[in-house]
Amino acid sequence: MRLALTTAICSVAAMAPSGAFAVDYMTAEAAAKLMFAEADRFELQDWLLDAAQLQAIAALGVKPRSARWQLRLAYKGKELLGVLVADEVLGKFELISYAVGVGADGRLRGLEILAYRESHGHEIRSAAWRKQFVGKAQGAPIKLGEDIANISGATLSCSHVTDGVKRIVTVVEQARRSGRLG
Amino acid sequence: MQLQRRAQPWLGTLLEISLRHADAAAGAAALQAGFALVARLQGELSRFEPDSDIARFNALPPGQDLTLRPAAQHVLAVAAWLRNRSGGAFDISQGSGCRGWTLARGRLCKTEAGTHLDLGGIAKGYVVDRLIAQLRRAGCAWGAVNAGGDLRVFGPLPLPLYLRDEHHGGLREIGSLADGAFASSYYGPDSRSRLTGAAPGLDVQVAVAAPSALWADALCKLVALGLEGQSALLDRLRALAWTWHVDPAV
Repeated sequence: MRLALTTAICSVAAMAPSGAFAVDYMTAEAAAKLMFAEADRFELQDWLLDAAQLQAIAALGVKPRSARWQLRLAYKGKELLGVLVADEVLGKFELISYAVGVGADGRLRGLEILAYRESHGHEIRSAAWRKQFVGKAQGAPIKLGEDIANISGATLSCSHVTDGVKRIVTVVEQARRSGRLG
Repeated sequence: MQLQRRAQPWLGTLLEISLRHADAAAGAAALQAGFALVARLQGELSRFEPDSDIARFNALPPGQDLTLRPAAQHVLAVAAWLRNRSGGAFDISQGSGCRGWTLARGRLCKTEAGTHLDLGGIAKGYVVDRLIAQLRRAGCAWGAVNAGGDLRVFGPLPLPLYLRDEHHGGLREIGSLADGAFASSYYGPDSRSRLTGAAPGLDVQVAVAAPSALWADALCKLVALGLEGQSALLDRLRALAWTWHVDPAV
């Protein structure tokens, strides 16, 4: 074991926190290719849920949070293999962007973290801070070095991810019933 | 050699696997195999998984026993050793019966009614160690696994370590680590982690560096409960520990 410590470890409270910390793992597109390896094409579809569809989702005990969803449909030839949906959740001090793949049979196909961002408490409440992260998973990743953090306390956000997965599976189910999935 | 890494939610936290491999396709396959191993181990060790050894034990009537699979055997042997060394302070029964279980010849016996086990304080470290061993076998030149604060790294490159400010957010770089493990835990009024036997009002952040993640993870719990009498144990396990009592007002 080789451990090198900054001299101030004895008084962490006296150290200034470092700047923004973010890790980009993969794009939504890469996650789709990983989860639907046999697909030969993907089709993006924007879906705006109407009031009746939102109500149907709420009736299943899931808060739909947003009426606007982007579905990434995976096809092999004419056959629809499934759909991937990217979303993000806010934890205690972090924003986690993730993607959920659901097979044509309605079963969960995969779950991948696309990006992780750790913030200071005051930033997380700022819409501007959140906005700069939105859509980043689809666009060019911001390169912030190749650090890997030993961050404790990520358990909280993980339960948010779990809730988000339930939401997405329900939204995809609703999309199927609405005849949007081929 | 490029850095390849993926993260998925497992073990009730975010689990990140990073590696460097001379062959990128082999690296990608090692990441895939890593998450498959985590899935299997979570299925054997988590009390929330109905077919896990732990869930099956929790459902046993008193006086009955069951045969453990190797993963649970290993983790419970360490837990039993730590329980005995710490006078019962290391308690995986969440206060339901620290002495209500015995382990002998691979069989786990429930000796008291109502005893139920939870490996939340030790299994993450074990899984991290297993993953590191698998990455080595897959021929990775370098690898790191981080399960939400339980981290281990091997290979020539040191890894920067960060601790989160649990009251204000933001990260502080506290050093770097190569060929070893580091675990940190935060126990406070607004943290989800709970520590059986802790004094009320505990607000503390602890970190332990050790050769393996299993020991770093488990020792974090003992360190958080107070170091009295534990320094010999830390020395014996070649571990180092830090404690920060948090003052939210600062």
